[in-house]
Formats: sequence, C-alpha cells, structure tokens
Amino acid sequence: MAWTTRFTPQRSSRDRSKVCYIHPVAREELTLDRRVVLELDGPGVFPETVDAALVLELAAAFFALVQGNAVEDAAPIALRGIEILDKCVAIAVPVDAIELVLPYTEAARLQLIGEQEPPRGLTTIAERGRSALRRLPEDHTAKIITGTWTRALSLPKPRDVQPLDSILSIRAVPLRIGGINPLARFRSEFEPEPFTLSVTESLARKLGPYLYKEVDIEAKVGRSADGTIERGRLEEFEPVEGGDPRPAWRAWFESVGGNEWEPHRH
Amino acid sequence: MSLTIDVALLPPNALIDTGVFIRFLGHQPNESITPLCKAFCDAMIDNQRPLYVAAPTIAEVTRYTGNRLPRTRGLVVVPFDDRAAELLGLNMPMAKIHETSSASGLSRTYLKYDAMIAACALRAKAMALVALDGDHTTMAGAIGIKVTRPELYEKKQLLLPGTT
Repeated sequence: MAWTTRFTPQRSSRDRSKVCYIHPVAREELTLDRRVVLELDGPGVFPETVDAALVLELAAAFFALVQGNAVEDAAPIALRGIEILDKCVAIAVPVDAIELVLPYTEAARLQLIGEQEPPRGLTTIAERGRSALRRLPEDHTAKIITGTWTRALSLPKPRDVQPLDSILSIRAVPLRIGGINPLARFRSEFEPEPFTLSVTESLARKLGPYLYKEVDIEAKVGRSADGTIERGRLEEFEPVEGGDPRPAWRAWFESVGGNEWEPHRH
Repeated sequence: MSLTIDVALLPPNALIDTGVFIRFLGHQPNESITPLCKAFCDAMIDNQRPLYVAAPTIAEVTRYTGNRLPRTRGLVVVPFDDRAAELLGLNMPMAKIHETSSASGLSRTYLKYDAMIAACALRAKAMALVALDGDHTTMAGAIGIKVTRPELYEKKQLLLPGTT
C-alpha cells in the first residue's frame, strides 16, 4: 500500500541540500509528474478572475529563481514551455528530470520567503516575488508542487524582534557557526561574555574558514540592562592579517598624511 | 642609559595615546623620546602583548584618504562606541572636563579627545595607557586607568661602582 521514499537532492556548490519527503501515496499512483507548478488557491480564485499582475509577478520571480539557482550550479535544467492548469490558478512548467530540479525549487521557495540568500543578480527579483507574496489576500494560499513534492509558499510570521540599539565594531573570535536559522557565536576581549549574532547563510559560509581565528566584526546589537550583548545581527566582517603589523601600519600612516600631524593643545 | 626595554616590566596589554602612536609609526624622528616610543611598541609586538589604539586617535591622525585601515594582529583599534560613551559619561562627566580645562588652560575640545581616548582604554580594559601628555595622567588617572610614560619600561643599567 503506502510507502514513502526519501529524496536527497544533489549537493550543490552552495550546499543547499535539503532532505525532502514524498507524501505517502499508493505505489500504483506514484508516477512522477514532470512539472513544476506554482498554485494559488482560495475562495473565488479562478483563472478568469485572479489578479493577473500579482500572480504573474509571483510566478516570474519563482521560476527565475529556480532557473538562476540551476545556472549557478551549472545544472542542465532549462525551463521551457508553460501551462495554465484548470486547478484554481496553477502555472506549470514542464521539466525533463523532476528529481534534478527539486533542490532548485526548494531553494527558490526559501529565497522567496527570505530564509536564504538568492544567487547574485537575483536579489531584486526575489524581493519583487516577496512583495507579491505579501500582497496576496489573506484567504489566498500559494504552494509549490514539484512532481509529487509539495510545499506551502508563505512568508514566515514576523518574530517578536526588538529593535537593535547600536553598532558594534570590534575584534572577535568566532566559536560556533550554523543552524537552520544561522547563528554565529563569538568571544571578544572587549565584551565580558561570549555573544551570539544572527547571520545570513552567505556570511556564515564566508565566516566558516575563520573559526577560532581573530576577525574584525561589524554588527548591530542590543544590550541587556547589565550591558552584555543579548541579541544582534552580524553585518560584515574582515579577517585579521597575521605576521608583523608594522609595515602595514607604517604604510597606512604615510598614506593618510599622518606625518603632517601637529598638536593643537589650545 | 641603554635604550632597551625590560620585558619584565611590560604590561599584558596597553593603549597608546596619539603622541606615542605617531612616533612609533615614524613621525618626529629627531625627537629624543621617539626611539623609546618605538622601542616600547616594538617590544610589545615582539612579545605578543596587544597594543590598543583608540579610534579617536585614528581620527586625529588621518588627514586625507589613503590606504584602508590595516586589520592586523598586535595592533587593535578600540572603538568609541555606546559602551565607551557610557563609561565616559559615568566616570568622567563633562563637568569634570570643564574643571580640568579651567585649571590647566587647555581647550575643552582638546580635553574631550583625551577623555574619549581614556574611555577607550577603559573599554578595552587596558592595563596601562602609555602617553606623553601629562593631561592623560589627570583625565585617565581620575577614572582608575594606570597612566605611564615609555621611560617606565626602559631597562635601567646599573652603574659600575665608583662611577656617577
């Protein structure tokens, strides 16, 4: 009767591998549909009446991200052809190898809802798709269907995020990096306690090689009443060079006109 | 006197004021104190003792756009951030700065820079603020930071008996 199987998508150079489960289905029904579908559902949602611009904007962003992610991995996937299915409103694109395209549809979904950085050059497209998602009427739902794999396409509920108070610019050592919502833990001579900052996936990957090495970080942080950092977001970092610091500092000093310094005491 | 540094006297870390910093990097090469400033900073770096420089010092020194600020081990820029500002406000209120200005004749603007540098020393928990200006002794000393001059770390040669 029912059985499940697990797809482990190809590991990509951006390591976005996700384990996706096919929903339990009867074996005789398990034929992989060779289409990637963006479906919109809700009361009164029909092809004849749907907000065309909104749906097309969402679909354009989604499929552009799927293709863009595949291009970045040099995956042999081309999205050609389009079908409007008689199923609420569903826009389908046929593909040759559904199992190859699956990781890219999941990546596109995560990028649309803001939980993953989109490929270079597609940030604006992702933002436009996210904007279209936000503008969906409350009783509308969107989902992505890739073969027999289905995922809701919805923006995460806003967390109760307190505003960040200040900009921190200090030398620190990353101790731990990772997580589904990536976090980086640091210690610093300038802070009394180790602290944790949220970090984008791409920044986490860049920071990885510098685990247990000094870096200069810039972050937006919020502090607790006792002055320790209780929350924050890493904005950027720069690695610290080893070796003799003197040549670099002397070169800097000369370049900024330090030799023209004069005291002004009064 | 021999111009060498007694490593045993070196602090675990130190913040250097603008005067020491610029001489370490090559300014005022003919001044008598310059070799000692360099020797102290060299000894700290060679013995892996962090040297701190206050961000306001970077502001004082910079005249025009040049190389990017180096990110190196051994010499660390201490930010004047919200924590440093709080430390300064709590430990050296403006009234105290005005009082010092009146007593010393030094401008308030000048002393504010010194106060910010002292606050950075506090922020970095520097074990010493090595400075040439006597004002730091007043300002930083008032908030519990040990203020020293480079001469303190010079290795003193003992005189031979019978010599003066």
